[in-house]
Amino acid sequence: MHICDDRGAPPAHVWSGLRAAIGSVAEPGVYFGDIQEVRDLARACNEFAAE
Amino acid sequence: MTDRHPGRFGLSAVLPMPFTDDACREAVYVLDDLHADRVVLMGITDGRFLGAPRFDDEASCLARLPNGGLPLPPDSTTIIHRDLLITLAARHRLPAVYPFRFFVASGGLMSYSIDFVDEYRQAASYVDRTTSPPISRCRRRPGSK
Repeated sequence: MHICDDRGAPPAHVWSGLRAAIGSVAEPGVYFGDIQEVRDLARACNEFAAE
Repeated sequence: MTDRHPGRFGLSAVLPMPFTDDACREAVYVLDDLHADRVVLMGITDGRFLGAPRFDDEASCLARLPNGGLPLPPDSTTIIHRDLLITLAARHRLPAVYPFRFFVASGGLMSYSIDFVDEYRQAASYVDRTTSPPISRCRRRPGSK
């Protein structure tokens, strides 16, 4: 069986025809039981995504 | 990420749920200051589903934002709790886009999804691609079958 890999292949946005992607945090989100932690982690994730 | 690669990424912000005041404040910050394209509400936070009355304030906060809407991703909990979600969206007059056609049959506004029957039909050609070399044949290109 032949296994596909990325070596020598063009970048994904070239072969897929996709121009842009939307990044987001998936389940389970950023809440793990601590109110200050959830505020800070949400803010950190959003600013990283924006900068 | 979005600033470093202009035009290549959209920003979908995460909110500090289940704390309503913080979540609404963060939503305003990311939309006004960081120019986020949208905010994400987790389906389940702290063991409670989004459609539960506990999250009414988040929904009304979202409903007050200009161009507010509720796109729902395909997910098993979304399907199980679809009646709650459809009721929630209707109660807050949020335009909602559901992941499958049967949500619309249950009273949802609209759906946008893949055609599952067609997916299975195309699976045969993927088997052909992954079992026969060379590498250049491994990927499906736009417009190819």
